[in-house]
Amino acid sequence: MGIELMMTESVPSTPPFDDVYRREYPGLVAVATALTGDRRDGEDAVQDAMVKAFIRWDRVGRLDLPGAWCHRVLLNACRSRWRRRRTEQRFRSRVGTEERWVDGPSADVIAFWQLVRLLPARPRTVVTLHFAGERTMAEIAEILDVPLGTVRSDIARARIVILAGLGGGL
Amino acid sequence: MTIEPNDNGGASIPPHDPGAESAFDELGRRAGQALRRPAPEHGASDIARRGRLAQRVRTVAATGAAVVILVGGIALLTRDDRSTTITPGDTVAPDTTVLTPLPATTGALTEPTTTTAPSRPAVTSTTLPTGSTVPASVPAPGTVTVTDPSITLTPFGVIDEPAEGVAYSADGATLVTVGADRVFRFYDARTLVKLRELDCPLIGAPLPDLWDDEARQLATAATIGAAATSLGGSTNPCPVSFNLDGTRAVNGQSLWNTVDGTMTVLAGGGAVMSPDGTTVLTSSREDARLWDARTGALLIELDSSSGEIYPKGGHFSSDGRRIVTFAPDARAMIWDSETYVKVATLEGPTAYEVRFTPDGSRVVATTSEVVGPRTVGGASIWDATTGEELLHVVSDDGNSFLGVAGTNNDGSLVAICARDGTLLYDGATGSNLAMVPRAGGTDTWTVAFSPGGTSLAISGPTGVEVFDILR
Repeated sequence: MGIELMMTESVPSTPPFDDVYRREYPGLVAVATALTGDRRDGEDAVQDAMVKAFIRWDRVGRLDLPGAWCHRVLLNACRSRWRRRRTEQRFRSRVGTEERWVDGPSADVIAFWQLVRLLPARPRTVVTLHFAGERTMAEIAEILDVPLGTVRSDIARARIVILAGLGGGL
Repeated sequence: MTIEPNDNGGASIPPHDPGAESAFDELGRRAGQALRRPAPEHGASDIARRGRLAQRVRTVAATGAAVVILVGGIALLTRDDRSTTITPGDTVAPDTTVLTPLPATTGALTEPTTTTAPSRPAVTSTTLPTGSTVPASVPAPGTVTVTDPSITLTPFGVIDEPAEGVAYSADGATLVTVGADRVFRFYDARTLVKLRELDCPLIGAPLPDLWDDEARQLATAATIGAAATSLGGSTNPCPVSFNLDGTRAVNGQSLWNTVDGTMTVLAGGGAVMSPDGTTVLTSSREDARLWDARTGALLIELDSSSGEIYPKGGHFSSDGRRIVTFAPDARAMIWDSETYVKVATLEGPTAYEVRFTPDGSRVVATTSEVVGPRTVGGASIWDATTGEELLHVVSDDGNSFLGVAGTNNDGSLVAICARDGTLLYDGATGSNLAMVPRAGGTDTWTVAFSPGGTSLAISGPTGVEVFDILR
């Protein structure tokens, strides 16, 4: 099923791109960071996805869930090995002038994502969209074009595997 | 731990366990929050600018024509998202559209203007007739300006593939590059003929796609491991370095067991393997850490002098006995890798990238300092034992942004990647010897001298230029 068919274009007016960008960015960058394992790669992937959204904003903006469309495109971007970056941005990051650094996550959080990355592709994506993207199970089902029960099942199975991997350390 | 793929379509759901579910949800919520970031302040306008440019290129491409963008002497031929560099004298394909820079004084974009400063040079469009050539007024790349007759730089060849990092193998026979596409490329240093390619692994990527027997065999080559290690210094892209038998590899935050395919996350980033393959150095904003390369166990936290903003970087000396750690907002320090004792603190200007000279006797850094109204780039050399600053040079043309500095084996020649090209200095006197304009008008990022000091390789987004040095 194509993404355009997935959501009905029932909203007559197009919301400002800036508003959707600001609202969706935290979840998008979290998902991309989790899936690529690298924050800079994640930010690049989000940029690429949002550029595509911007180009098609006259259609994407009218969707019921433009954020879900962005997540779908982002997932494809994360699968790509190629990350196009602007030359200046890359150069500045090399010399550290634009580096943004945050406190490192706690050990259990690192272990959580490490275990998530060991999951098969679909459960890995489901768990990432749920916790990093803060997407509901229904939204995830739409984004991935799978039944809602599959999403529930993936999360339940991932819970067992991840808790076992953590050795009951919670 | 082995996890079997869930291939039943999710038909059955495991028994409900409220306690475990609650704990899992709480951990997942915190894990998700740890990765969330607010939108950058000018993010939307940056997206809009990129989107408008992409729309414009797409419109032209839809007509069947290629687009040539001339920017400061470089020509990027863009078609179907692929770029090709052309140089003066090249024959241009029929119906090629050439975008040439407007005079800087106009300050206008042909694309829709935005409220933020344009990050791309201004361009205008003309169409060249069939079979025409690139305008001769475009300066030829690689024209060397020599200011000291004691040195001769002769163009040897060009590798026309993108390279963010470049290094020679320990025996000088192989030239290794790594690009933004995270692919290592190996070239015969005498002929510049490409020998092999090797994908860099990404953190979290499925191993079977990235590591096969061939890749492991490549990794076991000591020369490749050494060269890959020396490509370090940037986390963009994360370099890969291997231990001597190729059973362990590090990349970014990841320590890979290439035999069983398992991966351990190391707190920090920019991981580099020690030359003997026994320890791994990572760095973060808070500290630099040493890890056991075989077990992934933390050995010690080095250099906990906190920087305020920037992550640290770190390198081993070629004999593995010393470690240098640095950050733009903290003093660079040299450590004994066996006793973990600090050997020296490097005083001087802000150092962005610090590396040992190949013989380990000195360290060289790309620096930045405020001179009058400007921030000016340069380079410094310190004694690696005492920490005494031996030499400090400032970029002759006041460049503020510089890439990596490199030296020949004993530090007698220093090359700095500057914004307008590569500057070559006498490592003893600091006198300027030569200047190589940036290849094709693009930034230069990394320099590498051959082990014998007779060749100099300069990398940038369009490829690598190699020069023979005679002094």
